[in-house]
Amino acid sequence: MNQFVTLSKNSPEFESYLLGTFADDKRALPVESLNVNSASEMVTFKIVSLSNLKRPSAWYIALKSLKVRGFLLLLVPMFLVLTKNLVDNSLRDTSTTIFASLGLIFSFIAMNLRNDFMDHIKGIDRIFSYAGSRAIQNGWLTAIQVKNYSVWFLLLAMLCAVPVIFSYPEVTILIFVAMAIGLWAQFKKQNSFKYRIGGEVALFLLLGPLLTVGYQLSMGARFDWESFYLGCVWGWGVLFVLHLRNFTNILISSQAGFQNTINWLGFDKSRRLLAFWWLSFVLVNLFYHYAYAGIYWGFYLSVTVMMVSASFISKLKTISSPVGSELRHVFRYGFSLFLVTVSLWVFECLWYLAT
Amino acid sequence: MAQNVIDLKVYDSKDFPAYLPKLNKLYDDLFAGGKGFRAKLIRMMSSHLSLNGDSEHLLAQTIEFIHNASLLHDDLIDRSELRRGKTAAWLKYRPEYAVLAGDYLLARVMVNLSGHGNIKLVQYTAEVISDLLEGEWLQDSVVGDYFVNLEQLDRIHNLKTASLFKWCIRAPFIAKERYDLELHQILEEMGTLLGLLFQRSDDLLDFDIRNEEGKAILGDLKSGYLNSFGAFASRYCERSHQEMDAIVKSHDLNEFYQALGGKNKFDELVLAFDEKNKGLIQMYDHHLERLRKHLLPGEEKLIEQLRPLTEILYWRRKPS
Repeated sequence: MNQFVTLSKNSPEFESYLLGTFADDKRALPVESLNVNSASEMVTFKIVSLSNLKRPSAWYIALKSLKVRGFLLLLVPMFLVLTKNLVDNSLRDTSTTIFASLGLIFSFIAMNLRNDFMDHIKGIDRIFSYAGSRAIQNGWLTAIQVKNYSVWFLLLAMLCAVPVIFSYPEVTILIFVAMAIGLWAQFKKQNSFKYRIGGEVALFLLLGPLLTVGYQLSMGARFDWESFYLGCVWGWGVLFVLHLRNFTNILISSQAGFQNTINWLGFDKSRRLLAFWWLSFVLVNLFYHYAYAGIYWGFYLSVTVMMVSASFISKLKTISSPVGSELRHVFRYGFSLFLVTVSLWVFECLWYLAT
Repeated sequence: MAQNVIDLKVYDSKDFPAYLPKLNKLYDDLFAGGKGFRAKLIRMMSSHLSLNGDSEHLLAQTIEFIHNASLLHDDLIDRSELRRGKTAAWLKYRPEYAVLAGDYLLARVMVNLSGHGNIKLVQYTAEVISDLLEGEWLQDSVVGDYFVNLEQLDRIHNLKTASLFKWCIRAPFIAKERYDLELHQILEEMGTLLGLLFQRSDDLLDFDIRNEEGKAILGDLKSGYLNSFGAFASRYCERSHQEMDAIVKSHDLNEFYQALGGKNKFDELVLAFDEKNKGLIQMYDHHLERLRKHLLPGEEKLIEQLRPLTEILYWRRKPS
């Protein structure tokens, strides 16, 4: 027999249930509702005893909580910038490069953990039953634990940033801009910034030009337009994945009142947006290669990707339901295309390093 | 619950213009066979909330008009040839008349409710009608999709089926001008759970489970629609495309059992599905207890009247 507790946000016990501090031997798992939006005043929790909780291995929990699969979005642009500077012989400071790399990884982890915590606090996890790492929702970790881990990783990231800032003060402004975006996202009263149009721009900047230019400067290399352009191409690709994800959630997020680009455009126009976004990603990538890298690589990469893109565009054209299984297929296909492009790009870099 | 809708007098041919050919005959056919469960639910709610007779009648009529309008449109969309054992209206009277008759019922709902004067009730009813239509639209968009999952179908059923159950339990409170936000959130959750349980039970009839009313077997599947039990069973077994093909092309239950891996496997899946739905019933009971503190003295008996609804709607049995 399940035990349920429903609490109002005004209830004095509400915070302890939400944070998971109400009992040492129990977890309060928020129950998904088809009627809630994130402004809902009531939350129903299923109370589960720790002894009855199914817990996978500690490794599995760690990998899921840290969202290791998402590291791709960080490690690939770092690798691209690193390769560029190795090939150009502009990597001047190995120690700051190592500190910057660790700092970026720690801040990425902190951001992901904080994001899961905020989604839980703001009720996003009761709207999307599969969003985030699900560590809190499955009772593997309490929300307060996730928040504390996030703080620790942020502190580690800040420690790593100190030697970089002392060596290259020009990086400071980029770190401040990134922190300002992070603070803005934290203090937004409604919804996570991922679910807003302004948030999409923020994500583009954080994982795009701010990341690549900042990493470039941390290596002791000078600012150049190539790293900026590289960041823009990557940020554009990241937004493609985000739009694709939002497209698969268009019904749920529309019902919840989220205002992202996909919801704003609606189902039919969003299909066109995704096709446009993907094709323009391939084109800006080609232009990047024309301007800064090997045009032959750019040409072959673009032709290969274009060939496999035809089926994706066709799937987008024929998709007819905002709830059916086609959405999952379109997401998987689109994301696979992104992975293929990234793999080819990484292979290209390895080629440059080897020759 | 043996009376039909006409016995409850929520439908009267005098409500509709006599000069329109076929309209009253169409409605006579349509309303005659209905069990009027939703109207009875309204009556039960209204009597415990001491709603006056006129308001109670208006609400019962409203829900039956909306429900029957949706059936007229639904049968045409699904090309269902039978409704309550008789030829469906679109086939007997032409599709154009079926559409117009459905639209006319919805228009009457707005005319009748606006005459009542409670603007919040009019607004809420209009919202429910739009939810219903959204649900119809979405359901049509997944016809032929045999990989749709239960969560996605729940979203559709929350709009299409549960919206009317929500209306049945919320509208009497609105008619009494009781607008407490928390009360309506509780009722909204209860309505959703009743709607999902009813729909899932109705979907089991398609596989001849608790099918006392003799509903056509595999009707949904043959119409290209994977219903909630079908979606649950196919996901539970993690079927490949070829295996799903065998499932959806089943001509009878024996072929369906074989495609799933045998009758024992099928029975095992039904038990697992029931177990999953017991979770919804527990959740319903939890919200029912929460409802208690929002009722006025003298209204508490409503709790005991609402409790057996899951028995009736999901288990299809009279409460003990």
